[in-house]
Amino acid sequence: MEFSETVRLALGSLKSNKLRSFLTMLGIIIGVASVILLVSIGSGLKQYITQQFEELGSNLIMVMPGKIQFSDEGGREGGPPGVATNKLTLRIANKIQQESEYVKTALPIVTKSLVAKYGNNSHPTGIIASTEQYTVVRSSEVSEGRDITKAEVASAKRVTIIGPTLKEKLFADSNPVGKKISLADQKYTIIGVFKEKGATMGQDMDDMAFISITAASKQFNIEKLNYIYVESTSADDTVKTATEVKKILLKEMDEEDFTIMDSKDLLSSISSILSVLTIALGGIAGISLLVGGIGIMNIMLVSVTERTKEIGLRKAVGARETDISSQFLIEAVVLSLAGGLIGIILGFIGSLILGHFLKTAVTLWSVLLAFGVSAAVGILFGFAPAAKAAKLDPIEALHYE
Amino acid sequence: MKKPVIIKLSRVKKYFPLDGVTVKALNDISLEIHQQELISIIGPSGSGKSTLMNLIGCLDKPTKGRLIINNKAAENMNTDELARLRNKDIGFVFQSFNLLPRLTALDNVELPLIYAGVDRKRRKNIAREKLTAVGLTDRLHHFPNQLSGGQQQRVAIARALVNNPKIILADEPTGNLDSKSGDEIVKILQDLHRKGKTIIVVSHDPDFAKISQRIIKLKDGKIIN
Ligand SMILES: Nc1ncnc2c1ncn2[C@@H]1O[C@H](COP(=O)(O)OP(=O)(O)OP(=O)(O)O)[C@@H](O)[C@H]1O
Ligand SMILES: [Mg+2]
Repeated sequence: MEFSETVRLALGSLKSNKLRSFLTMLGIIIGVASVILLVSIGSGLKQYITQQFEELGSNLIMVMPGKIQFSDEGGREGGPPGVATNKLTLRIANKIQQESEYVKTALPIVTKSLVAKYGNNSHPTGIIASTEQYTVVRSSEVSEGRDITKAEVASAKRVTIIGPTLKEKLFADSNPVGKKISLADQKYTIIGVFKEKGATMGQDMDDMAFISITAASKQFNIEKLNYIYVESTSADDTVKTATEVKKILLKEMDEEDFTIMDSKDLLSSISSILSVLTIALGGIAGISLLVGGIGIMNIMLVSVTERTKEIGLRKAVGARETDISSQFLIEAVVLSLAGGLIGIILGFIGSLILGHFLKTAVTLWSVLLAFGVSAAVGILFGFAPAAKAAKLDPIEALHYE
Repeated sequence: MKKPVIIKLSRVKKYFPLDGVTVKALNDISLEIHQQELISIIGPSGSGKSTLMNLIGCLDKPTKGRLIINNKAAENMNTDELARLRNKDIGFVFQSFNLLPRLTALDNVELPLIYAGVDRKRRKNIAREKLTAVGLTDRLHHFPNQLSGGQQQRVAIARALVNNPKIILADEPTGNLDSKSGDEIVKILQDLHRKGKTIIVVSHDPDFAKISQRIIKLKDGKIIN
């Protein structure tokens, strides 16, 4: 018998029992859809975090106050990078900048939460204080007005560049450049507005006001830095740079009261954790695929028993064992492939819907895997029922009631 | 002048193991059937009539003895070869019709052609032609449960004919039918016999006895005439 004929036969008997065929597929549909959906969440998360890190820049090293130890168990030892042990100062940042040839820029960063006011409008926000190099290193563009100058930083001038969110809260649509706002009762003149950056790691990067680090220490009495961004001369030298920075810092402090983090190291360890997570999610969903496959086998076995008489008759009029077994095998494969296809479509739609709330990414490998696995499931679990059908004795089958 | 032998059984035995004892359903049967013969097999219930038909129809293999169908030694064949023999050389008509309930009359008749590898268009044509021959031109697309018993048996006969087999086997073909429908079946089989088929019927219907050239009597798995 021709293959196309066998397929037609299988489709015919599936069509004649639509509800059952659908219910049989349901297990596969759910399995495949959940594999696609969960993997898309996992890969979406990974893409998102990787992207965030790339925005930080691959040649960046972060120096944070306090000692964070990553022990073998992966737990964090010692205290949090607290203020008490903070020994990072502007002087140290300048030392790093001057003493290492691998360091392109050492950017001191101070942050503080406060309330910004303009007229009757007030909005709780944060300041970020640094040098004139901030906009370059952090690739923050100024869209209205202008950037801060070196002279303004040197003289601790009361000027600020605000983020678009803060602008909107205080000024709505009017032009803020040249206006004076108060940051925790200190008056600052707005010289520019940053271009929109969006959220990074769930934080609105546009809800802030930038001032010079000198102004921050003068007007807010801040001496300690929250962290120092070190940009190395090239992305390949981050390891050497980190070693140098460590040496310089150890000269300044009597003990290792700081933590150096390389964005590449961090990214690779986070992304490997996320890969494992994605595979684990996919694996859990894969179990439901297996259950779906067993469901197919179950129904197919029932179907073989129910159709014993039909099988007997087909054999009596000349069907060979392979004709019978391929009919049942193809029924199982068609069921699982159709289920797989519907599952892929549902998983896709699901991830599109979910994409409104969090980042998802349907990966080709998960689609191919789901499709392949559902085909394999059909063959694997269709095999036993097909073999059972093929081996039936024609006379006994014909007399089966 | 006698026609050549088309079916030959020599010392055929068929035993069924049943709860530790062996049922000797056929016990040493030797039989020759010539081409274009019409034969009736009679005998009491349990005498082995159906068992004999199943062996001749290659649905089962003898426990012992030789079985030659259309010049082929059937006792040594594997399952695929037997399937081919059932498909090409033999048409089987059952007491209970055995039509597939989800297929139309036409699709039921097509079935043996599918396994013979005939293409779709030719299949439809042949099936239609055979249904016309048994007087069911206007019932092609009816399902079995939309047909009377006599009509269903005629569909089954059309199915037995589609591959143009030389041999037609009918195990109590009128057993489930009223006498009028039964008469029609007798006529159709008689007609087929005239057209050159070799026909073996298991039946106690006197009408078959009348048209048969030979009557074989079975008792306890043996031929007694
Ligand atoms: N599969 C089987 N297993 C065990 N015994 C069987 C089997 N098939 C047939 N028999 C036995 O073989 C004997 C012959 O059975 P068979 O069906 O050939 O009789 P029959 O002449 O067709 O009877 P009936 O007129 O009632 O149809 C019976 O005793 C029956 O019980
Ligand atoms: Mg019988």
